[in-house]
Amino acid sequence: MTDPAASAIRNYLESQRPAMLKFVEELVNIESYATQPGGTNAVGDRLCRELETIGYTTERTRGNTLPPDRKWLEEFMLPGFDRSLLGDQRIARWRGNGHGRALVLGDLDTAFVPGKGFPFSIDGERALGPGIADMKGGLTVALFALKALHATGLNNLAEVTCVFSTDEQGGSLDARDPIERAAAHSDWVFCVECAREGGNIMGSRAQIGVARLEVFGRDAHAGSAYAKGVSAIEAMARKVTAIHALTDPAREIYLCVGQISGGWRRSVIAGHCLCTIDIRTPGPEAWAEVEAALHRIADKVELPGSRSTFQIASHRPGVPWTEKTDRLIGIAHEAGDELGVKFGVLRSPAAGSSAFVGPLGLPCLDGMGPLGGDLMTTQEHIIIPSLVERAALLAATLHKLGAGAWEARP
Amino acid sequence: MNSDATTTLHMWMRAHEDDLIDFLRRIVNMDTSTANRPGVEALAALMATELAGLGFAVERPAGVRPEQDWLDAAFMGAEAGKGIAPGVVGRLAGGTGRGKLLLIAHLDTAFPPGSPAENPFRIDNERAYGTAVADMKGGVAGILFACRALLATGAERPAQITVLFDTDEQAGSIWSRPLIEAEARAADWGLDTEPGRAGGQVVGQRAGIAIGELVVEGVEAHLGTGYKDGRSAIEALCRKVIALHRLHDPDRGVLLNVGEFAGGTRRNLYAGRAVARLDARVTDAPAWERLRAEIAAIAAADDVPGTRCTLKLWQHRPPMPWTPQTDRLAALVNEAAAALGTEIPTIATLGASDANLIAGQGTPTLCGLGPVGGAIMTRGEYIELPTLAERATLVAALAHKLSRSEGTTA
Repeated sequence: MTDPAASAIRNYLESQRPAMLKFVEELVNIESYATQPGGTNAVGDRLCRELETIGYTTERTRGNTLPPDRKWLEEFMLPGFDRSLLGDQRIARWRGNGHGRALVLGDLDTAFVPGKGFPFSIDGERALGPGIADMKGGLTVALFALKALHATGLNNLAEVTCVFSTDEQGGSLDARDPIERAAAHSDWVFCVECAREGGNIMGSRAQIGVARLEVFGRDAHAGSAYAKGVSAIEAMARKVTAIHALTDPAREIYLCVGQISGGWRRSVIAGHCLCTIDIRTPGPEAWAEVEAALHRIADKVELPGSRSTFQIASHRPGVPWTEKTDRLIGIAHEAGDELGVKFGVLRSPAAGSSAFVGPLGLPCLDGMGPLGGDLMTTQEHIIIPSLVERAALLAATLHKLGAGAWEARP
Repeated sequence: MNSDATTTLHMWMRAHEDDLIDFLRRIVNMDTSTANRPGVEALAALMATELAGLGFAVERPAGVRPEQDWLDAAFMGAEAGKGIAPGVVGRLAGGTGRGKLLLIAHLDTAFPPGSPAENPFRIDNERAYGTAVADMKGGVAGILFACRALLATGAERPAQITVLFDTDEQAGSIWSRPLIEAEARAADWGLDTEPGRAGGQVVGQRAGIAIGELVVEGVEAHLGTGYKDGRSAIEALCRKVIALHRLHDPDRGVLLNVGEFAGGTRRNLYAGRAVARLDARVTDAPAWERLRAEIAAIAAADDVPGTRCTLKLWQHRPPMPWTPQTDRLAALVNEAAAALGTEIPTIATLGASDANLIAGQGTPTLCGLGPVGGAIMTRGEYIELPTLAERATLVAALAHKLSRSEGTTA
């Protein structure tokens, strides 16, 4: 670790270790599911206040209303919740006289529905709490990385924009537009989801969509009137096996019928059955192929007298792995080597807030947050020392970009 | 002479038709939803008093907790574990004819508590309407008035008549079953006053009914990140549902319906659990033995490695097969019908009732001897009012004819 910039960043962050842990504890203790606008707003306030002290201007904003053919996604993603009641999306922006524009993405909401959380605790090297890995630890890493650049006088960029979203768990329907607007004037994107196993980051993200399939049969008593009935459960069972058969791991195509519900009484042939489907493909070509196949499955009439309705939408377009991705990874690895922080880079079959930058041609490194695991369980945790390491990695990478590393690479 | 006795019984019944209708009005307006135990108890107490007034020795035997807890939950839902109102057993000895006759009707209804207030007894154009007027308050009144007619006219009757009013037929008779079966074993014949079919027929054959529940445990995992670990309980259960419905084969006397299906908690997780509930009907005991083995094999099939299925299956209504004795009982019905100037065919149905439990003990049994009705279990449930007295006469006439019959005893 001979690079002076890296050393300065690392030294500063080492001095902030207790402050970082205290900050993440503070954020974890604010319950902030997407449908808790008081919570997501409070987390947003806390972050923005900190960023304002180092010269960022902040604003609250909201996304576009959805076109009519996608409106069903709102009820699908957050059932029973009115999207207009979400906490505000936050933009924090710093402008300087340096070089290049970076976008940092993070989420204010967690996967823990109200009342399902648990208290923050520390167990050796691990800090546990609801949403600590996904992604209050990441928010802490982002904040302290930016603070490090200022404290060390190493912020050499032209612009740093942060978008903190409040509905990532609800499909980012509202955050999408603010993220896309910010990406339109950025060169590189970093998202502070927690690191994958072993500290790996993600160079690409899958295209993700959802679908809702409803089958209508005809209900009838399963004794004397059996022949009059048409079982929506039977028709749906055949569709479900056909849907799952589209999964093709070799091509990174994954489908899952996550929820199903049909019928209301054993002795009545089910007149109705509903399922929800989650779909992941490596990109738009595979998506189009899968979407067409799903339409064929939905339209097929397995039992005379049955019919179905089918809705499908891709709410996360995904991030492809490009030459730009390789370049950005090379710079981050250089920074990591100087800091002694090792990591690999994966293709991810999942997606989050960063998914919208792919179609704009921006490279994105996701998973820049701390190491952690057991997400969405009562064991959700981060590895405490990785707070400092990952903040240093992000800050040092940003500094290299500001210093012209992007243009210097082939 | 038989036709004379039938005529005499019918004349008595016509003379007391207003009393019969008034009694029916009174008990239709009593709320005896299976779940409304105090309401059922009130009717049981009334029937006990009425029988005692006719000289019956009356007992109030308690229900017997079913050995399988899950049956109680499957039939009683939220009321599981609370037991049932004690049934009513009345015995009238001293008949000068042959044999022991069991008359059975259930006091409970399939309607939710509070129904009689919204859907009370009323008469409109030769039909009587109201909560459970057909299924089976009409049959309860019919048994009482048949006994009154026998006693009032002095018609020869069986040496012993046992009247059994059970209180949980609409919930599968699972608490009453031991009681019904004990009385069935002690009887030479059983007559059940469930409503006559809409065409006026009585029922000589009924299907056996079983209920089943399949629970598949999979491995819950996130679609994006946990593809290798996830094992979808929904997929496994869909394959079983398809296989189960293939067992449906009316030509070999098997009806099978999976009427309820539910699984999964989130659209983007491989479902960790899925549940299906089925109704299976067979026309004879060998068909049931075959079907039971086939269902067990489907439950045990390793459709999706890593998932596990548990099966609960219970035939709560054994088949009521058509036997040579059914022909003899049907012939007696024809005789009585002729004396009443009508035709009453005896048919087979795919429904089931307490008559199945009686027949299951090898006791010759007829069902559907209550008034002719329709729109069962709906707000429009009705009886053809003239058949109220006619069917009460039929029950009394059959009691009389059986007491004089040769060779119809078990």
